[in-house]
Amino acid sequence: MDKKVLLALEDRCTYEEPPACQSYCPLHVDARGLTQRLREGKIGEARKLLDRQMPVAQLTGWLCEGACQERCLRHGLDQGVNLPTLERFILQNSRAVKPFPMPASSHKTAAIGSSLGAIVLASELSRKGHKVTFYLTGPFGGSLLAAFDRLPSEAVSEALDLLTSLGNKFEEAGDLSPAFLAELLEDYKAVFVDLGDPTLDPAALGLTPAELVPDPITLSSTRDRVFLAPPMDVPFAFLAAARAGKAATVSLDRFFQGAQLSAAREKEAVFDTTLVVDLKEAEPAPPVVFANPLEPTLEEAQAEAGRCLNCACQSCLNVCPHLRHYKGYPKKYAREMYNNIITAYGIRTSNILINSCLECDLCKEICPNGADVAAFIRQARDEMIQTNHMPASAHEYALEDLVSANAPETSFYRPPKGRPTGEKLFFPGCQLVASKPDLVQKVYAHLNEAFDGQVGLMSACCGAPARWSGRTGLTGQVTSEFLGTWEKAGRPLVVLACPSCYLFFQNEIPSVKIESLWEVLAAKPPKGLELDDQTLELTLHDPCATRYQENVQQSVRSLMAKIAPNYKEQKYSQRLTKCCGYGGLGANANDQLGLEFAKDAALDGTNPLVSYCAMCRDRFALAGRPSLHLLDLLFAKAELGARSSQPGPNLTQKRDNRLSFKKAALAAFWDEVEPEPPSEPLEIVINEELWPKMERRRVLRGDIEQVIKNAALNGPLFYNQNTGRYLTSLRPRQVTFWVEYVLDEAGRYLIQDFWSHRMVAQGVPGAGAESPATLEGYARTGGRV
Amino acid sequence: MDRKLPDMDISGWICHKCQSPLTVFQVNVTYMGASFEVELPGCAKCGVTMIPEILAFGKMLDVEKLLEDK
Repeated sequence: MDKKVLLALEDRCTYEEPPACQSYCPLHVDARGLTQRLREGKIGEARKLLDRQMPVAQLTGWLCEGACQERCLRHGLDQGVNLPTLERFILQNSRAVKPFPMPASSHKTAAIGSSLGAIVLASELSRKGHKVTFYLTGPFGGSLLAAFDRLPSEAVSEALDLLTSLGNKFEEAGDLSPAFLAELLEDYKAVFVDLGDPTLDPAALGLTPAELVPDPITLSSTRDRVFLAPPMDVPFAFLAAARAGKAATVSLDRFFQGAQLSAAREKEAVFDTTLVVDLKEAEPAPPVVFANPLEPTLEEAQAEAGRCLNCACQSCLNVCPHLRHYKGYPKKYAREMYNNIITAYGIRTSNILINSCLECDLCKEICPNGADVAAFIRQARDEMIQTNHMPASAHEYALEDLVSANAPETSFYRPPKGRPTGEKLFFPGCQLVASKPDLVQKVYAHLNEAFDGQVGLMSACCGAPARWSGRTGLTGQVTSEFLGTWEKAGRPLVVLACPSCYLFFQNEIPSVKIESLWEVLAAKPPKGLELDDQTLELTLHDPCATRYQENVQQSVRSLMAKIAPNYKEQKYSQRLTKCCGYGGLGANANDQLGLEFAKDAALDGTNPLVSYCAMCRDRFALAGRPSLHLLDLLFAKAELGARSSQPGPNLTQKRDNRLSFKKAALAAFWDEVEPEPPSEPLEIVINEELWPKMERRRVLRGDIEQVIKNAALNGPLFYNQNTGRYLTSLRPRQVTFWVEYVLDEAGRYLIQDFWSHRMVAQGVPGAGAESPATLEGYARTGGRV
Repeated sequence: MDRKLPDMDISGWICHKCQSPLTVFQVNVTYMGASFEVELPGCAKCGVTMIPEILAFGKMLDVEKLLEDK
């Protein structure tokens, strides 16, 4: 994967950007972190954070003017959070974190003056081992006490104690002169002149006006080895002075190491953040009135901290269970996935993360910058396939299902009866045929009536699961087979019922002219649309594949307006609709998260949810929400009560439904009756309690039958003398199945349990050599690959 | 993969073909190019081995997943 793809996605995600309060704070104090700790009553933790970010906090905290307050997003609602008072509360109610003493380096600095710039410089530099000697032109910190009358003198003496404990020294400067400066430059590696200290006359040092203007980034003077804190005559002067001390620390540290002074320092000063914050749900909260702002109480501090909006860009996190489950955001995700892709040796820990995504585009749609995670996931999956790193089991069942749906026993194309070709071709899609075979027949009958018998029928899978799983080869194989049939059919207009088929056709075979069934039915609806029972409260769900298909969504709404004029919309609908978990084969790769998706999309009410996608309908039922397919409303009005509470068919029933649909449709519309296959001599009874396990493990009745047939032919492997149970196995493909059963007196095989594994074990018959773990190039016959 | 198996109840099981009780012996298992020696129950006479459910859906599945992510 090209790193540019990663960088492009990273650029669009602003999750890691600081909130405005932090980006505009000269010291970049994490106000969000402080208020959070205060709300949680963790004052000591708040102090640790403050000491880390605000040098000499016991002094600087008192002098903080709160540059953040007018940048606070609360400012637009009522008034910014009063951070300076909260900082004071923290300082008064906690103890400073003791600095870790560092051995002294040989890089010594002289500081002339003792305003905030020099104090911060000494604190920061000495923590790195570079000790500072102050040359005082007045009492230590005297200028600060004079400038800020509410500053307690203890704050200054605490700062002095701190600097002393860090190994810094203090001398009287005496008379300043050019010779004095020359002497210091002789004795020290560098000299720092604190122009913020009004007791200091820089001209006396012989520095020219040009030499007194420091470089704005590095704070170095044009005089060699001289660094300067600018005078305190700017707004928010105290914090600007502290920032100057911090910036000069970086410069001096680099200077001592012989490194470049100005590189990569863009975000040291205040800057505009690109963080996007959604304030739609922010409630106004009036500022706390502190009885004594110089001594705030815990209750007052916590109430004020509670006003913090906790600014963060988490629009995508709010709507996506996948992002929440993996505790990520697009920028973090992109990095993890990229590292996963480029891993040459070792465990690829993000495979499951990549394969659980639904590729539903909701995050892109809701992201203020349109970060396209799904496109990234698609590329990641493609590369996993190309490099043979896609876990074989991730999409195996879905691909087998595709192959089965397109096998000769289930798939078919027929032109309209009595015609060589038709104007339209109805393509219901493999999931709709599997879920609602009876209604598909009704739709087909209706279409032929509405379009003068000009509609052909094709039952097959479009190929979307192959695309979702990153198998471009298989995708191409399926689409070229479709195109072959479509050409022979006279290139008819393809009417698609399934929104995923519609999207797949649009993206993968754009040469085929398509129309949504819902547009067709909106124009030519069946008779008597309106429900007799208008008290039935219905809520409409848009399948995620229709996110950008406004035409389809509007057609469905025009139908719904006639069926149940009082139907409701979901909170997340149309462009912001949520996926049921089937999209991108997410639920296939991650069952548990798949169910979370279904619940997240469906459980916003208890009345029947109407979808126009068979997968959505059945997955909502699985999540526990009464649900209907739009076709139920159009073609099975009398059975809505029963249908809304019905679970979807299980995997075996789906396969059976496709088989029986073919037989029934060919008989009903083309008078083709196939001879019944010879009846099955073996009677196999699967214990009812086993079905949920079969669903979970994606095992079909047919899988178990195969194992039993083999045992009937070749004898079982094991017998238990205590329980009378037999145990036998078969490896029909990449999986070995074990089945435990008893034979009753009537010769019936009563299935008691089953399990399976992919490993090949010596001594387990039928295993043979291990085959390569890839699905590409599977034979397209027989429904099994 | 550990060579020792989780506790498995193999009491009463016999090889259907040889009618002999099962014993535990070393068996080679492979997946995606990796190969392990594990102890499995089986028939000492004909060499047929049994993979119990506790192993198939337990440790074996964990190792399969791990190897698939390699």
